[in-house]
Amino acid sequence: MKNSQEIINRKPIGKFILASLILMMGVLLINSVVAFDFDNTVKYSNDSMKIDINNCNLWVGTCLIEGAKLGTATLESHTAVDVPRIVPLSDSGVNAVMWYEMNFTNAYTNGLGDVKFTDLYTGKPETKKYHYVQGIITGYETVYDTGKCTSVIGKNGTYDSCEQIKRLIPQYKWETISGKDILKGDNIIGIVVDDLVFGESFDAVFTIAGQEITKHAPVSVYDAHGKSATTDTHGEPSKKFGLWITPKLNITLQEAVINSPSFTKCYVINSSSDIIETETPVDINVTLYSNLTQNQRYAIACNGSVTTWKYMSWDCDGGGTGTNLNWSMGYEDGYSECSGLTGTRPFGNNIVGIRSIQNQGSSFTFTNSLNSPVDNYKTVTKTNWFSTDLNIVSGNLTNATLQIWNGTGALTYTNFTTISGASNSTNLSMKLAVGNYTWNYYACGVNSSAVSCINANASRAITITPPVFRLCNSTNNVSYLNYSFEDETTFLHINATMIGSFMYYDSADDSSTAQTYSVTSTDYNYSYPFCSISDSGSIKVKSDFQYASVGYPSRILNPGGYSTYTSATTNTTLYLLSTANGIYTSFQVINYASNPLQGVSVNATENNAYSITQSGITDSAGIITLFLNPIIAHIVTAFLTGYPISISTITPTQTSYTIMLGTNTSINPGVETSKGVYTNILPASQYLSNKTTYSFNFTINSTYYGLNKYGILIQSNSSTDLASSNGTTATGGIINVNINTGENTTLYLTTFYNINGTITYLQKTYTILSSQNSQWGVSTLFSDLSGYLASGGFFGLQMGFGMNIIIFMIIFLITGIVSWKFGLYSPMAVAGIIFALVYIFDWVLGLITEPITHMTTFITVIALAAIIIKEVSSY
Amino acid sequence: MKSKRGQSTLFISIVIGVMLFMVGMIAINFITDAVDYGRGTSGLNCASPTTDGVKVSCLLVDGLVPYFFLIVISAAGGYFISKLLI
Repeated sequence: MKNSQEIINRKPIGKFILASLILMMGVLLINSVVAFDFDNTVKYSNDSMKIDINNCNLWVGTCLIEGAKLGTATLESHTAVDVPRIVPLSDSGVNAVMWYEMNFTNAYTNGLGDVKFTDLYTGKPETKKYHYVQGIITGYETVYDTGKCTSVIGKNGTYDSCEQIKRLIPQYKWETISGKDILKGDNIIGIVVDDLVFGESFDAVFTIAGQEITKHAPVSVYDAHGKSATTDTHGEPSKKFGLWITPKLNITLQEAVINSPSFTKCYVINSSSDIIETETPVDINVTLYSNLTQNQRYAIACNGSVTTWKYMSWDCDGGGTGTNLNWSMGYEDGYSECSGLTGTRPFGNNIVGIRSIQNQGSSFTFTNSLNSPVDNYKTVTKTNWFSTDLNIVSGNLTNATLQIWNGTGALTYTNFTTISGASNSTNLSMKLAVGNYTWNYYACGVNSSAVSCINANASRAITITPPVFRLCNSTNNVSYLNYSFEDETTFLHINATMIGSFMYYDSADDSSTAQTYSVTSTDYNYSYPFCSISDSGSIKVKSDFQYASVGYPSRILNPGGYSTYTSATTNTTLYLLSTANGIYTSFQVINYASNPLQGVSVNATENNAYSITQSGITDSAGIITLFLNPIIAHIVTAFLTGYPISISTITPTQTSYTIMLGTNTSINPGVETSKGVYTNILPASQYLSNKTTYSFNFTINSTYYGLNKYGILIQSNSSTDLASSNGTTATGGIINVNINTGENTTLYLTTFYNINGTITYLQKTYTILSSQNSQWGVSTLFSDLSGYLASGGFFGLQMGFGMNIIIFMIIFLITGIVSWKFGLYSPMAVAGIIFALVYIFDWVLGLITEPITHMTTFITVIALAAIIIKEVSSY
Repeated sequence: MKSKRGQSTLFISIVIGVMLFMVGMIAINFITDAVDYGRGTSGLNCASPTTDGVKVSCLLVDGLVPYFFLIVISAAGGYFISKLLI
């Protein structure tokens, strides 16, 4: 009865507790399983320009425990969160008015919420039509900010000289985003407002990852031409505008007006001739930053030629410091307004209001007269000296730069030197490639207050011509190479014919610039001298011709490569063998598979004091025929890239010989995939770790067939080619590429080899294992343990005897406890437990130090096997 | 009646075992953050430990998460099995 009563009383309480636990679990689980936006947290930094958005692990009314960072967003469109960005009306529906650079760890679904707009004039929410866009960088705009200013004392007083700081502003192309997902990684996300109204000013508040970015980011709209909607003839902007950024005027200096190729300084001068701003032009652009007074006249002057100042002037009309800007340029063409805040206005040819401005310093005479070489100079010599005469009056020379332009007008070579004094004959050298050039000197000098740099009035032309290699004549009269002929047996001189060609190029160039000179002489000449012009330097020549005489069969001279010759004449005697004293001997070169080898360089050199050599290249049948003396032993060599050189001594009494070029046995054989083709692919394991660089190796060795081509290609799991490499050695080789697995999950390795058009593919797939979140695993514990033991140990415990003793104790204790607890007393069971523990500590964790790797594991497995055999056989 | 009570006890033990496991998995998030901080440069700096004591501390910290995981498995599984065997 009592038990029943107890049971009856316990039932409702038990159900209540169970229900409470389930409810509490539900609340906790929902927070962890479902990623709500409302609990995300936002933190501002960098003057509120950057926000960090974090997840929340525990939210009860507010976030109690912050979780992992979801991403960051940096306001890039504005200079500050409370400084309005001023946009032209033409941006409506086209360009973004406000954008963030977002960097999210993972993609965030529906991360872009609604944008809330507030009219800044009324303070009330308003509805705007907008859409999200993504910014793609198309280039950069160079913008110059005013940097440090220093006071400079000029002739007319003290003024500030300010440095210009160059900034690169990215230019974006805006592409509409479909959906509201925030992509993983770096993205430029902005909004394009489709219904901008001229003169309006509004706040735009983004909602990112469920959180409103409530710091202000105002936008103001103006008309692109600086004109208001009214008919104000001065174009004075409406007073509804917000804060104007300080304008700067970017001026392009036209050569047609200024009549000078370059400027070093430009000055803004007021009506009292005071210099109020100094700027350095960049190429033909100069940017002025002055805040000028309304209804005042100003001038701009830039130093042009040495003695003449060029200038412009304009009126500042309707302006005001930092609040308004409108310029009226002195054009006669009727256009009286500037093109906006930062427009580029080239000077027209009609200028009014020019004022005469005093030079900043006394003028000085400066002459630059080119000396040598003369204009339109032609030479084959690559290195030439260029000289000029410089003179300066009432000043000092400072430096001179040799400038050389190529045939397309691009400045290709410069050579700078510092000089001094009032006069200097500057002489600089330059090595040029073959081609047409113009050259000049750019020299600089100073006086007490000014610097002037000038070129010579006219540049000069110089042409570097390619070398010449011809049979000698009156023009080409510097002898480089001379061929003469003798009987091979009597060594008496013979007159011979020559038919063939020579390829040649300057030794300082590469063989791609080689030219060809053909010789067809059917006359029996004493010799064939080849010449160049006087200053050709060294020339590389490749000869390929046949020569013959009466009663002497033709021979071919084709050494196959280039030889270098200079004006120190090289005399070469070529030998002919009479028909009665020689025979035609053919050499066929084959490989191990008895396939003929084309392109083999074969030399047959008489093995005597004279070492007369005949040579040639095998044809497609692998054959080269030489006319040789059959009573003299010849050293015959055959060489082809990829094969070891063949050297044999032959007395050519037969009409044909066969030479076999052996295989390259230095490559380790692998798996035979075709007859005589052995391949091996590394790494052998199909599992690789992520973010790790591996060396992928393809070894191929062909002992039967000649390989036409072989190679390796590695692709990622998105079918993107990561690396490839090929080889063409006939006997095979080793191809190696290094690839970082990165974040790929799979890598596909494809190898191939081509034998006479038949291509064989071998493929292997690698699975990339991610180590993400493995820092909390057991592997980290044991890797740290191994690392600490290997790097000095701790508290005297190091890899070696000490660690081995501890492991032995652990194995001893665990074996004893397990066998006692579970009653495993048989030798086989105990041996099995010992083997398992030894395997874990030795093979898996690598903590046992032993003279031979894994020796302990092998000993225990042998002991286990012996015990098992003994136990089984005892039955 | 006895079998019904046994079935309900089994069901409750499964639910409680799963709840214990889930609570453990939620709590493990806090431990991983603490382990990261402890191993990082602001804590023990386990990548470059300076003293032997730091090395041993790092090894203990490394074993925290696996050890906690084992406790959760043991508690949840043990509770379930103990009720199963009753």
